[in-house]
Amino acid sequence: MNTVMRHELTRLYRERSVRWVASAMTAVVMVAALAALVSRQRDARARAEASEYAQRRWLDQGAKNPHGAAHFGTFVFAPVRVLSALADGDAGAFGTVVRVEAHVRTPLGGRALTSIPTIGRFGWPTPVGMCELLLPLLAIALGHGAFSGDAERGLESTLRATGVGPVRLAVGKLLGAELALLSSIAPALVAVALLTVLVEPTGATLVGATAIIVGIGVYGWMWTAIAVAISAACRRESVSFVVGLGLWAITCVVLPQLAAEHAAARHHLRGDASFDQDVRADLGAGPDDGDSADARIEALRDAVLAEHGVERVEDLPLNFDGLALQEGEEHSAEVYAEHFDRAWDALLSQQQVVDAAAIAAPSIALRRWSSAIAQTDLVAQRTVAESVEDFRRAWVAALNADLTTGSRTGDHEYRADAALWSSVPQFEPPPSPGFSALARRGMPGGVVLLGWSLVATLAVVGLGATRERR
Amino acid sequence: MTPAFRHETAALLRSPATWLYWAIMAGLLGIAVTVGTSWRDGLEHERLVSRAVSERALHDASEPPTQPWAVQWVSWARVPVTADFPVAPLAPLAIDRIDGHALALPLGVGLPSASDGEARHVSAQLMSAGRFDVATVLVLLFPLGLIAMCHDLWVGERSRGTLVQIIVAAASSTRWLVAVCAARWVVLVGPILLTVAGVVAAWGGRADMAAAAALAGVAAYGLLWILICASVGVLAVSSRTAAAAALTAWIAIVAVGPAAGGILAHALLRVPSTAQLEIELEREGLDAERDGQAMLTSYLDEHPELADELVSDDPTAWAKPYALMLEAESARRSSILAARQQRISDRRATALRIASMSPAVTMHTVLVTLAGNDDARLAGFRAAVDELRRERRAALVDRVLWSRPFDASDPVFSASTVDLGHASVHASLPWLAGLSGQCAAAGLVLLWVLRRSQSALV
Repeated sequence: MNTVMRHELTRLYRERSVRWVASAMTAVVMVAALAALVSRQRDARARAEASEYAQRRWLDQGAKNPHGAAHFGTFVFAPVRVLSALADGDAGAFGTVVRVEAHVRTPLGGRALTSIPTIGRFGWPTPVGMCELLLPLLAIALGHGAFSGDAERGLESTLRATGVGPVRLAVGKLLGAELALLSSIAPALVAVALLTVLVEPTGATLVGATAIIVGIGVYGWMWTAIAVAISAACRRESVSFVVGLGLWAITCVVLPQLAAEHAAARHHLRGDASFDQDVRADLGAGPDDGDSADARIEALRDAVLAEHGVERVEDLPLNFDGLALQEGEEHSAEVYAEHFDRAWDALLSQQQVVDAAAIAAPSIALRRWSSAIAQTDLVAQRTVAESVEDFRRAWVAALNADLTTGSRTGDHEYRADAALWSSVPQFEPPPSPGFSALARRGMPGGVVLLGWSLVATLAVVGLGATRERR
Repeated sequence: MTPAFRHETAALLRSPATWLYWAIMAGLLGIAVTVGTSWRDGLEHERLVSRAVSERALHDASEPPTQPWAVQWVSWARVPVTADFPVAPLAPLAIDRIDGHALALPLGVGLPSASDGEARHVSAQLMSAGRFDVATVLVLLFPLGLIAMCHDLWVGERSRGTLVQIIVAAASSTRWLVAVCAARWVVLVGPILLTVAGVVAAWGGRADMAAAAALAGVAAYGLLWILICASVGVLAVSSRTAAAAALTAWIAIVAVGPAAGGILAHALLRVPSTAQLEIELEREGLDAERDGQAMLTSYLDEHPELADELVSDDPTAWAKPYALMLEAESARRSSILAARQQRISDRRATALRIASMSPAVTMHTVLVTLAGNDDARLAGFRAAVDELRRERRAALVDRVLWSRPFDASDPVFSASTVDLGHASVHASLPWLAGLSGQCAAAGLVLLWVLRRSQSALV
């Protein structure tokens, strides 16, 4: 088996076209990684500066009514994940900054994908994106002639005459092609991982980058095994080549886009106008500034008056407007939560449809695995969006609480100052889940990749072993 | 019509591969047309919803005011009236990522913000993968089909051992190759042209210059890929090498070209990130307070009779200085947003210019421009809406300052439309010319490699 593997490896290393493809791919992956890392660093710096300014602006706003401050608002910036430079996943489809204020919940804005020219899904490159597309081609270039090429050159019978068993021959050829592929791309991938770790030298980055690279490696293994299996199934080298390319075109180019269209058609996401209309309908009379004759406020008023044993809100030892504002805020937050949850559920359902398509198109599985590890997947985006909303609710509640307890009903002159501004909650980005949690999230992709690899490897052994009989 | 052309055409028509190619292309185009039609229907539905909401809000806001006009002003500021992006008839041809942009911009008098131009709810899957529109089929998949069908031009004859006979029999090998390329163009590109013509006629309603330009683009792009395949076929030593080389060309043109354009443009032109923009807008907002005070002083100089009212402690009078401040801040914000948008457009244009060395980018730009979903048209829409908002704001501020009531019958507040005309064929002409140039260059390269190959044969 070792001899077969060495022979295969030597043959592949000698092929000029293979060397060309491997060099081009190394260059493309390196350039993509460098560009993405530089862009990511620039983004991180800009967000840190802006975040610092937003905090200063909030603290220096001067004395004002707490509800005025809630409308003055503040800004929240999504955290930048270093591994997004390797795998951008769905991050480009979501924004990075949001103005937080009372009554209104808005999604994060500043979507990256609309600011770069693209054709289909080809635009801003990342190492994983490039590997998704190019690695199968390298694998096909390496593996398509493993059996059919030998047969055409008349070497197959010579090899068999040496007494090598068909299974050993198949495994040897597969290992030779796999080693050739992995040794071609390993330098670029290791360099990319090292660069990423240099940018953020933490254990989590190292583990994450390694996991992504292992995912790419499994993807490469899978495609090489597929190419060798096709070669074992075909009599002619050119036929195995064309079949391999056809499979690549269908699974890497056509199916990912078709899957996305199918998912979007199956799980409809409301547009902005429909979303706003539904929210408005559920909010009823609209955002409540505390002066509405809304039944909920009436009920609250009655309850508060009864609790304190007084007949007029002016006699309360607190500011009823603050309570009414908080009641309105909780109502609107629940309405928003319901509608945003519906939107996120639709997006996650769409992702599930696309995930299912990964069984036919493994490039989707690589994307799924890598984006989960890089925290650029849909779940990560939702976590950030929901932590921003949790912060908004706590922040508005703190301001309303101060208005309620710090003043009396009808006291329009009440002013809070920097002491309050510095005591309200500040946004803390959601902590990064541990690697095991991220790996569980990317598991659907990982399982599909491993499943494909296993099936393709078994197919090589099966088809290689039965080739002589056929 | 030369015998070589007739022979090649007949051979292609007899080949099951040709029929398979037609069936696959027809299927892909059919899916893309369905996607386009359903996208347009969805957009129309959203617009109906938006219009119904606006009309109801306008009706509610036009009820006889029971509150002081200053409060009425606040309610008017919240009326969700929008101006719709005029979708061109051929828009479904190249949807691209236009869904990521807000295609209905608010005409309210609220402050313009950094995310005004963005759609808030979009499918992440569609944004990441891109739409499966007709442009995607034509720009990405059509060349793959042509590579599959044409990669063995010349090299196929050579590997079968018939090349020398052909060269001897034909008047010249160049004429033979031209005839073969023409036959492949007619059989492989012709039906695609007919299909696209049908699609364009169904969407556009009539044959016009945009349709003709789209067809010219498809014809040139198809020819270009046949010429690339022929050049590769002449140079290659086997069909397999030819296919690999043609596919490498596809990767370089389709995937690496746009990426290189994007990376270089990002390196050359810096654009403030959204985070930086938000902060800049806030800083300007603080400065706008000073502008507002200055405007108020100037207004009082011009209209001293209003002095008592403007400096009144009457809570209903707060709207007057506030309106002036709003006017000042809106103007400042609009100018910053416009400058940033211009910067983004410049960077996209630079990226496109660099990437247009790749014929795929050129072709895609031709189709997006003809579909009316291009950057220039979107920028025109934003500028027109900005102007409408400025007019409305000025009129509203004027009425607030003069304490004049207003309602929906006021022409300034009636629903407004933005007319950008149809997608400009003129805008696509430079790109079409570029594509023709690339096609001509591919032809010259073919002639050159053919001459070299003949020398080698001799």
